[in-house]
Amino acid sequence: MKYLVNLAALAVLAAAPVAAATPDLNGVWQVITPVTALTTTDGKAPPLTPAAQKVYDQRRQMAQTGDHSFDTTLKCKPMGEPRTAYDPSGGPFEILQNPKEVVFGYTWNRMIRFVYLSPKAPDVIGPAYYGTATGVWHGDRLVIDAEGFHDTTLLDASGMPHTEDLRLTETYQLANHGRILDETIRFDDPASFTRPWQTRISYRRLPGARIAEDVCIERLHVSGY
Amino acid sequence: MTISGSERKNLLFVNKKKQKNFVNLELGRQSNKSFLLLFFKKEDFLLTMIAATLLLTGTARAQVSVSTPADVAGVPPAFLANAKAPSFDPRGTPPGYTPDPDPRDFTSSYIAPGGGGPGGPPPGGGGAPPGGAAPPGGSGAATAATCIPSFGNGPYPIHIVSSPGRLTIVGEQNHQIRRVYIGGAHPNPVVPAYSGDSIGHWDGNTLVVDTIAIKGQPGVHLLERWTKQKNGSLAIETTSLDAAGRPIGPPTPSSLVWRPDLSFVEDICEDFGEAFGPGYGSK
Repeated sequence: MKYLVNLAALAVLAAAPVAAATPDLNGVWQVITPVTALTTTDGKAPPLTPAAQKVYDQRRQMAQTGDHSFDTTLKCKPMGEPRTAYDPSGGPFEILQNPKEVVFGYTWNRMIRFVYLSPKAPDVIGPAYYGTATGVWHGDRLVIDAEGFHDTTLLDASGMPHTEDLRLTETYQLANHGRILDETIRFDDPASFTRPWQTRISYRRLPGARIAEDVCIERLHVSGY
Repeated sequence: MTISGSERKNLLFVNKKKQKNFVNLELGRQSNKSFLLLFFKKEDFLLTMIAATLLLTGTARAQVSVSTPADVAGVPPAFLANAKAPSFDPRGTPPGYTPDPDPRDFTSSYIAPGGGGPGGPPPGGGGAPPGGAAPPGGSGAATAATCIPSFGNGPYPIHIVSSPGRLTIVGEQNHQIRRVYIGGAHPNPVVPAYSGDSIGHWDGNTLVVDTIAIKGQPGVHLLERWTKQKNGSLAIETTSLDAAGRPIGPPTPSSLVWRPDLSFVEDICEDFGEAFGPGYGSK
């Protein structure tokens, strides 16, 4: 028993940050391999429930005929989290980091996401495209817990559905001397997936880059606005 | 009038998941939902009745914490029956907060004093938005209605993010992001943007921001001096410069009131296109 306790203590010590500097995620990042259809970390199709599979199959059939009307981003509505960062048309994004918050500034139609580095997120009224998120540093890893999403967004351009019960756990970690940012996303949404699953995405730092102002309705020439 | 599905769900979500029966009438606050609820009241009988019932039975509360009387003009009394009176000047900083002592750390939320209600839906798209006009230089309803960003601090809350080498000013209204590169230089050539191109440097604890290339305002060159006050609010002096860099007239003072009680709320102008039907956002 004592041995076990010591082991536990060692584990805690090993997990605790040893006065290490907080990694610096500030900067502009771009997905290395844009994602059109998400897969699990072992390259398999996400474990959709039958109901979600039906919705997904319908969308894929529509897409095959050139009908992407299920994708509301064509009407300049936000891609939402987590798609914007890895979508082929999402563009680079920047991370602004300070001791109070980590802010993601996406190129796509000037979307922004606040992640509060506090135990409790501010009380936000209702679901949002980018949800409600808190973050915590575990050593050199930033772990973000996010929920409260609109169910009208897609998880990827192929039409992967989700419900308002979606919960994301995102883990960010620098690699290759800060030139690469690796992200692991865990999707937990019992109505859409038979079990929680994970995917992994990597971003390349764009030194010196700036985020250009993007105005979707000008870019897409959407009429009527 | 058609209310988008997501907005309907928003009301239900609040009731079901947050279990707070929180009906948002926070009209001075920047939130699409405020408007939609107002329009529910007028034009959607069922949702009006739901909201009214929640309010009248006391199971919901209407938050009017940053509303001015103009914001709630025309709102049926039933909707304000259980509204809590603001415990502080709704255009001031609430009591009980202490500003971060770092005079160069602007990270927090702010609101323009005396700003009107949110811009919200376009004129003729179901009714005029409540509240007054945007302050001069602010993002007014005209641009908000077209979902085109504009330059300046509008009536909605502003969230400032201080980070190494940067000051980022996030205006909730129409997701307007203004990036100030501290110690940077204007690119040459510079691409005009609705948020302009801003560089800054510190003069003591005052951030001096130089802005050019504001889309739609050719030749405009602004010099702003942003200083954090002891009470946490920001004092801003704006001077227009001529082509030679000389001041045109005296600086114009303005301010942003520190509102640490606020947090970022999404304002998706593009959603109003669906909510307000043909002529507004329909492709």
